[in-house]
Order: sequence, then structure tokens, then C-alpha cells
Amino acid sequence: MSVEWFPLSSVIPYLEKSKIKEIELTQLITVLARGSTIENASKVDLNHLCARVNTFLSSNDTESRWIGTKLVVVVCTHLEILSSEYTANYLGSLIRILGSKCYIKDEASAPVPAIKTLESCCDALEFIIGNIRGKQTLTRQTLTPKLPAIIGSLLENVTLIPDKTISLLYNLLANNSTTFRPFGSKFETALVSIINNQNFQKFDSALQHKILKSLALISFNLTKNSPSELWRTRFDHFVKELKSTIQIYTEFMSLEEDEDLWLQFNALPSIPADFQPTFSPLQVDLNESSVEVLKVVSRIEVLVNLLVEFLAVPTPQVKVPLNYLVMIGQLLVAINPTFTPIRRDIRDPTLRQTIAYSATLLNHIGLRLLDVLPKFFGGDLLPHLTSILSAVDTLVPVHRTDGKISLNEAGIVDKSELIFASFQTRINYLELVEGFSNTSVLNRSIETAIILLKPRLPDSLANGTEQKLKNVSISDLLADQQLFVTEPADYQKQLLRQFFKVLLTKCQLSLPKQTDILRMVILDAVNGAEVKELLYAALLFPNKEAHASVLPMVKQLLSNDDELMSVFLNPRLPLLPQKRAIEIQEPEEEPEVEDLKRPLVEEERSVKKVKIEDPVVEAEEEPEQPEEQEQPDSDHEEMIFKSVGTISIPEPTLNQQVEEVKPEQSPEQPDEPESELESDFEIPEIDVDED
Amino acid sequence: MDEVLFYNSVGDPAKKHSTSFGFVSSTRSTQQVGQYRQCYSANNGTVLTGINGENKIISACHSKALVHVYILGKESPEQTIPVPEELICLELCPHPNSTDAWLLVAGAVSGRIYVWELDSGLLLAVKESHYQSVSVIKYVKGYLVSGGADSRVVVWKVLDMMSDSHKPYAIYTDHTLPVTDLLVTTGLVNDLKVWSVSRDQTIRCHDLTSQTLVTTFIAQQPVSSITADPAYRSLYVGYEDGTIRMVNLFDAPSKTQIWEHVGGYGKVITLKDDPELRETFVSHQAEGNSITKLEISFDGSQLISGDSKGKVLVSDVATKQIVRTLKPLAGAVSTLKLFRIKSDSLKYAPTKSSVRGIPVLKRSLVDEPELQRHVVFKKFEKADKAPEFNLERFLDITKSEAKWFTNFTNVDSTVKKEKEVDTAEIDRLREANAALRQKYDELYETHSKLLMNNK
Repeated sequence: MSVEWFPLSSVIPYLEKSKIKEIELTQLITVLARGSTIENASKVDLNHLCARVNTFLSSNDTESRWIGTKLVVVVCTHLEILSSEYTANYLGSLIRILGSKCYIKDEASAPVPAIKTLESCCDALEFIIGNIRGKQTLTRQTLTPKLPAIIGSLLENVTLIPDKTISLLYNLLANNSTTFRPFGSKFETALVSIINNQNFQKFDSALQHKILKSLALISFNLTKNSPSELWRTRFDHFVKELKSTIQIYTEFMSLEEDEDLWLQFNALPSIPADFQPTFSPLQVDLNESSVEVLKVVSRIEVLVNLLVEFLAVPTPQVKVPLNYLVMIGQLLVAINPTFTPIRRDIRDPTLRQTIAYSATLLNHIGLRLLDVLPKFFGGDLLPHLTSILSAVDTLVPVHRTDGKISLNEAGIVDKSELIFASFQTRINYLELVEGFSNTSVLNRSIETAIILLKPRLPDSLANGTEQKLKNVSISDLLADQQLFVTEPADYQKQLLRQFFKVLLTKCQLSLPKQTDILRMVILDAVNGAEVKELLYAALLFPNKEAHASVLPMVKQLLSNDDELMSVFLNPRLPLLPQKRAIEIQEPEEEPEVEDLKRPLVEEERSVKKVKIEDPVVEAEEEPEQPEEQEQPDSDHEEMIFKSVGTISIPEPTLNQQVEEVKPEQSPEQPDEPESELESDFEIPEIDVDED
Repeated sequence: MDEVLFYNSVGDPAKKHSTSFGFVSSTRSTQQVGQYRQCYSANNGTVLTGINGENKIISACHSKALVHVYILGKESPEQTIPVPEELICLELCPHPNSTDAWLLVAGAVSGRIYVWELDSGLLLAVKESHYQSVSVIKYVKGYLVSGGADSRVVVWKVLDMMSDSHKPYAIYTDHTLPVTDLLVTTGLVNDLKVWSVSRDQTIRCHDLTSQTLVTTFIAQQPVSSITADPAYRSLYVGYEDGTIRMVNLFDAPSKTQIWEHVGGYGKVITLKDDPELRETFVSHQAEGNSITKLEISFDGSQLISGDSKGKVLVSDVATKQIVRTLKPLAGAVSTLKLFRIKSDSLKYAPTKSSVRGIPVLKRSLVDEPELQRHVVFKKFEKADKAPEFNLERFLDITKSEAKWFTNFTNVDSTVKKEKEVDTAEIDRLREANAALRQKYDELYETHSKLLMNNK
């Protein structure tokens, strides 16, 4: 038994409401978290501890309850306490705290300590439930009887502490669907009302994600019969709802003018006349305010996110309409005033610009949907690859002059956020392929990436346009223009580097395009950017047509202690045969033993053979490392190339056509025949005669 | 850690395949994990999506246009799927971003290659690859390499197969007799090499990127199978006379005394006779017996070999001695697949929620409208993990929340009693109050009486 354990009895007296302030809570928690504290405690002390933690939980005082929720987590980390009868008591006390809502009278202005206590209570419940799960007897005896009360009390607090309660309810829904069944309808109603509420958009994205995930799971999880069919029905239902929402855009924009888009739109499931949408109808009055159109965008975003959540929740085997997902993604990406013009009857320029802006937001949503698909479907998306990349390519703004298409640089800079998002989509899809050679859908994006990497002056300075606002520091603008040069943000540069990497490693680019990329990469590295992986890619995936190697530059750019470069320049593995000058060895350098074993005639014959057989290799293809080759690390070689074929060294005979290999002697090291004999390297019996 | 081997054979049609079994056995112990009835296929005709959980065994029935699908742990076939023609060999391609099976590629007796998407059953491609039957297909990094009885090796890019392109990536026509087995190395795409063996007694290595013949070994016998050391230090080739020859791929020529890769630059190397059996395994050698399949263990120390009489042996590579003899099969061994597992981690019994089959393999090539209705079968899963207790993080959260219960200002707003309450004074006031109340009551009563009297 260790003597360093902390005596539990010394902290027990502080576990009272009146004395708890006398000890630092974090220290108390640290002491209680140690396994030895509990293992070495007496039965009486343990009972005292457990009872007092429960007393804290049962207190009417908010702070005491909060302390109780913290202590209960720590004591339940010990299996001895978790598997005791106290766990059921703790669950009961935690349920009572949730049931009482910490005596909050006005939920609109609830005191923060009470909220924190309720949240901490949910954390404690989640921890205890998570640790009980999987332990069958404990689950049956302790958790299952309390589950209905837990679910009920959590549902009571959904609006008060949605973050914690929805997370916990989702876990219970996924793992205890039978117990959850009576509460399913109530939970679903609560979730839908939260989503329909205007405040839903004010939630952080993590909470929105939890809410939508729960709604997706509850849509099919509680049914007794064929949940996979219900999954598909509900999925199709939300696809229809999404279609009906996108249909609103046909009032603003001529979607039918883009044939592909219109085909895809019509290929989505048709909406029946008696269709009952889950979400409340949208009320959009563009005459009142042009910003109303953004309500449609928000609803589309919610529905798209909900469809994604249908893929993220655990399901039985389901039939996923991959075509719908790809079509929705492409459709949203393709809504673009250039190809689907805004209807002429909308004349208000403000409204027209707002609609055009909303189309960009829809493009973002489409890209986000397309982004997540590779994670779920992997190679299944490859039949759609070209079509998806083509759709994404349409986001690049172009000029059309005299029938010739050129990139619209100003448009690219203006839509840079969208363009950067499209790079992420391309990366996600190109990572699925090897040797992608259809570069027609990539060339434009490479040029765009190079444009976006360039530093630039703000338009107002670059074009000398009139200042719209009174400018105090006009002298700065005129004298030090370089101070106002803008570059892409670091995360954007990182994204472009990822894009370049995937182009170099997964695509077969033309030499000019690859040279453009390598130039940007090397310039980036010279300017001190951390582009190690990109330099590796440049080195390991050279263009077939390239005449010059990037090796010297990469060597210089990577630090001297770079491990991969070291291996690259000093290869550990044997090289393929290469032409080398064979010098007739001086008799004095040859050990006498060798002379005895090998007749001179045979040696001369072998030397001639090597000279004739070894093909010529151009010097630049394999940089010669004579020192490394001549003096290999024999220990490592023996370890790596230890023969797998024999365990004994056969005696060399004159009949053998292959001579025994001996490590080359360095002048400093004396010959050690013993070590040679100990080697278990096998003599290969390969005739190197050329046919 | 343990290694388990799945092996099956071409079966025994004379007994209507009643004795044709596939077995899953440990190669490190005597444990036999499972057996599968009517599991027979031509050489290279069976594939496994994995060895645990809901994985499947897919077997192209020998001499029949049928595919049997087994769920691991269940002895009889779960599905029997008709296919367009008799399939000889199968290969699985994993999803680019996971180890799950993505494509099922089959080589047919007509020389065609069929590519099915396993998640949907769609027949994505049918390519005329060989003039005679396809004997083996291997997949690596987006490339499919097939060898056929027409003595050709054909390389396809999977992406090209999905398009309308009918042109393969490369065709190697160096062999003069049927190609019997293939081995494709792994690594960067630029480093991939294809080793092919043939009945023409040659072992040829082609570079996939440069599409050149790198090395040719000339064997003493027709070669029927090939495998390699995991680190590609040596090849193991099975001959039709029942011997297995080890071919070292690294050598230190006596003159240079520097380790070098054997071969390269189109070299042709004749393998010498090995009368002292230092590089030859002879355990299978018998009249009319040939090596049909070879497999190497995880650590490269054990060679698993199957022959045309159904014998499967585990041999030690160093001593060339038999370590273990596995349960024999009826007919020539057609598949050997090794899987590395954690000891006792095999979970076999399919549960109620297990996915028991694969989508039915379509017999007609997918067209554009069908691709527009692309539906895939998926089971989305999320591993549950017990919450971990991170003390540092928990203490941080506790401190963060504790600030809402702590008064950090110098102002103390709690109500404190200034002095002790004088109970005697309270009693005196109570008495005075009672006396006053009594007098008031009396006064009220008198007043009421007077009012009554006046009325």
C-alpha cells in the first residue's frame, strides 16, 4: 500500500455547507479524484463522503447544489462509488434539481448562478449515465428506473438550458429509444418550435447542429417497424420541403433559363397537393423590405443542414438518395444571376442587388452541402465527380469578350469568400481520386488561386476613385500606399496551399500549370511560409515532362535537419544498378584471406561482367553520393536486409558462382573475420548473366 | 495479436460441391474460426470485405454465372446473385478515404472486366480487357491491373473506367503464355510496380508510371503464383511442379560489395537451380501437384501456400520447414487471404441489426438516367464512447463557473444584524400593545352599546 495516499477523513469535516468555503473547492476535487484517496478510505468515511455529497445536492441553496453537482462527478469517477446504491440517490437528487429549475421564477431573466447550476447538473447526469451505460446490471437496477424521470425533467428545461439538455436528450434518444418512446412527440414538438422561432438563428452553430441532429434522429428512431423506411420517408419529406422553399426563388429569378439547373430542380421529388410542411410557412413581403428575401435563404440553410444531419446520426441500413443530395448541392451552387437572371418585373435596384447577394449565400450553402458528402459517401461520388467540379467551376466570374472567355479579376476579388469556399470543395473531391487528368474543370481554378494569392491595393486606392467618406489620413494613403496592401488571410493562404498540394499529388497537370504552381510554392517558401508538405509534394510528384528538378531548391528551402530530405539525399535502401567506374583493386588493399579464397582469374571475369552489364544512367537522375554508397551503415543494412532465407552461413566453395559478400573495409578499421562469420546474411544465388 | 486465414478451393463438382468449404483458421494456433458451405471459386475468385463484424465473403462460383455472398459467422450463403456470365476472379477496391469496400471488380471467362459499386449494386463499367479469360485482378491506388489467359497484363485507371473511355492505361504484352498471378507493390503512385508471373516461366516487373519493363526473372518451371515479403526484400513464386522458390530482390555483388536492388533497366536474370534447397520450399512437391496460391504473414516469417490437391501449409521462411498443416480442401486451393486481428477480437455472430447482404448486382450497364436516380445503401454509425474524466479540464470549468458564486468586489451586500435584539423590551412592548388593544376593544364595545341605545 502506498504511503502517499491522502486521508479522506481529513476533508470530511469540510463537506458541510457551513465549512465548505474554508477549503479550496478545486483542491478538494483534486483530492477526491485520486484513486488512492477512495481506495484507502475506511467504510465509514466513504459512507460519510457519499452521504454528504448527496446532502449538498439536496440542499435548497443554489451554491450548495452547484458544489454538489461538481462533487458528484468526481466521486462517480470511482467505480466503487458508481456501483454503489448512492448512485441511484444521486440521480434522484439531480432529477429534483432539474425539476425545481433551481427555483427560477422568471425564465426571461434567470439568474446566472441558477443557470450554471442547472447546466452543471446536466453535465453530472451525462457523466454518470455515460459511465453506467454498457454495465448491464447497473443499467438495469440504477439507470433504467430513473430514465423516464430524467427525460421528463430534461424536457422541462429545454428552453432554459437548450445546449445541455438537447445534447443529453440526444444521447438518451440514440441509446434508450424504448424508454424515450413516450416522450418522442413532446421532444419533437419542442425541437420544431425552437427551429420555427426567430431566435433559432441567434443560436451558435454548435447548438443549431445539436437541435437539427436531434430532430433528424427522432424522425425515425422511435418507430417499432422498419425505421429504415421511415428514415427515407422523412428524408424525402424534407427534400420536398426544401424544394418548395427553393421554388420561391422562381418568383425572383428565371431558374428555367439554366437548362441543367431546371432539369435538376424538376428531378427532385414532386410536391403533392396535400403536402404538410413540418416548419411554419414563411412570410416574405419584398415590398416591405428587400431584406425579407434573406428569410428564404435562412430556411434553405436550415433544411440543408437538417438533410446533412440525417446522414450524421446512427441509422440502420438505409437507402440514401445520393442523387438528390448531389442535385441539391449543384442546384444551389448554380443559382447565379449570370445564368439565371433576376426577373425583369423586379425593377427596384436595391431589391435586385439583395436578390443577387442572396444567390451568393445560396452558393455558399450549396458548397457546404457538397463539402460534406465525400466524408459520408467516398468513392460513390466519383460517377458525379466531373459534373460537381463543373458546377463549382461556374462560380468563377468570367468576362466574355469577342467570344473569348477570360477571368474577371475584379469579380474574383469581390467574391473571394465564395471562391475560397469553392477551393475547399475541390480539395474534398480531388482527395478521392488518383491521377485525375480531366484538367479542363481545374485550369480556371488554378488561375483564380494564383490571382487571389497576389497582394493588392484596395480598389479605392488602386483606381484613384473618389473617397466616399471624409478621409483624415489622406497623406498616409498617398505617401505610404504599401501600408494598405492587402493579402489573403492566413487561413485562406493555407487553403490555397492545400489546394496546390492536392493538385500536385492527385492530378496529372500540364507542365505549364504545374510550373505555375511550383513557382507560387517556392516564392511562398522563400517568403518564409510554412509549406513543408507542399515542398514534399513538389519533390515526390514531379511532372513527367519536366526537365529540371526542384530538388536543389527544396533542399535549400527546407531546414537542414529535415528528415525526409535527409533520407532523400542519403538513401538507406540500395540503389538500382548504375554505371560506376570499377577500379582494379590494388593488391595491397585486398586482404590476404580474400586472395586465397578468390582466384584472380574469376575476379577479373566478374569485373568485366559488371562493366558490360550495368546500364548507363544519367548523372542528374541519381545524384551520386559516393561516400554514402561506399561506406554504408553496415549495422543498419544487416538489420534491414537480413536474409529471410537461411539461418546458417554456407561455406564458400569454388563451385559457387556467386561470391561471398564482405563489408568493405575502411582503412581505420581492422579486418574482423569473426563478425563476418557471425552475420546471418545469406548469399543470394542469382546469376547476373544477361540473357 | 493473431493472424487468421480465409481459404477455399475450386471445389469438387463431382460431389455437387457438398464437400466444398471455405475455412477461416488461425495461422498461429490450431483454432478454426469458421467454415462456409458451398464456398468454391476459381483461382482468385473469392474476396472478403473484412474479417470482423458485418463483413462479407463474396465468392464467384466456379463454372457458374453466380455469386455467393456470406455474412461472417453464418455457414450457408446469405445471397445467391446471378451475374451476366461466369466470373473467374474478383477484387475489391476500398473507398478512397476509408477501408470499406467500394467497388467489386470481376474478371470474366470472356475476358471482360465488370465493375460494380457495392453500395448500390450498379454496374458502372464493363470493359473488353482480354481476348481470353481474365485470371487475376489487383487494385492499387486508383489502378486496376488484370492478367489474362491471353498472356497480357492490362492496367486500367478506375476513373477512366467510369467514363466512356475504352482505352486502358497500359497494356504489357511481354508474356507469351497465360498470366497466372499478379503482385502490385504499394507506396507512392510514382513508385508502383507490377509483378506478373506466367506459365511461360517468367516473372516480369513493370513500372506503372513509366510503363516500362524493369526486370525479368527466368524461372525453371511454369510459374503459377507469386507473393512478396512485406518489405519487398524477396519474392516467393510457386511453380507448377509443387516447389516454391524464393527470389531475393537485394544483393551485394562481390565486386562492388554494395547492396543493390537486383534487376532494373530491363535486365533479364535467370534463376539458377537450387540443388541444396537453400531458396526452395519442397513441402508440396508431389506428382502432378502445383502451387496455386501463396500468401506471406504480417512479419514476413511465415509463408502460407496452397496447392492443386487442396493442401494448405504454413511454412517457416527461414528453415523452410512446415509449421502447421491446415484443414485440407476439396479441389485446388483458390483463395488465401490473411487478416491481422487482435487476439480473441473476432465477433462473429450476426445480430438483428446486422446488414446481412449486399445490394443485388445489376446485370445491365448503368446509363445516365439511372445514374440520375443514384441510390446507395448505407448504414451510418457512430461509435459510443464512455465520457472521459479530464481532471485539468474539469477543474478549469469548475473555476470558471465558481466566479458566478464568488464576490470579487470589496462590497459585501449581505445583511448583518448590528446588535442583539432586546427581548425584555419586546416583551414590555407586547404587554403595552395588549393593554392598549384591550382598552380599545372596551372603548369600541361601549361605543357600540351607546349607539344601540340611542336607536
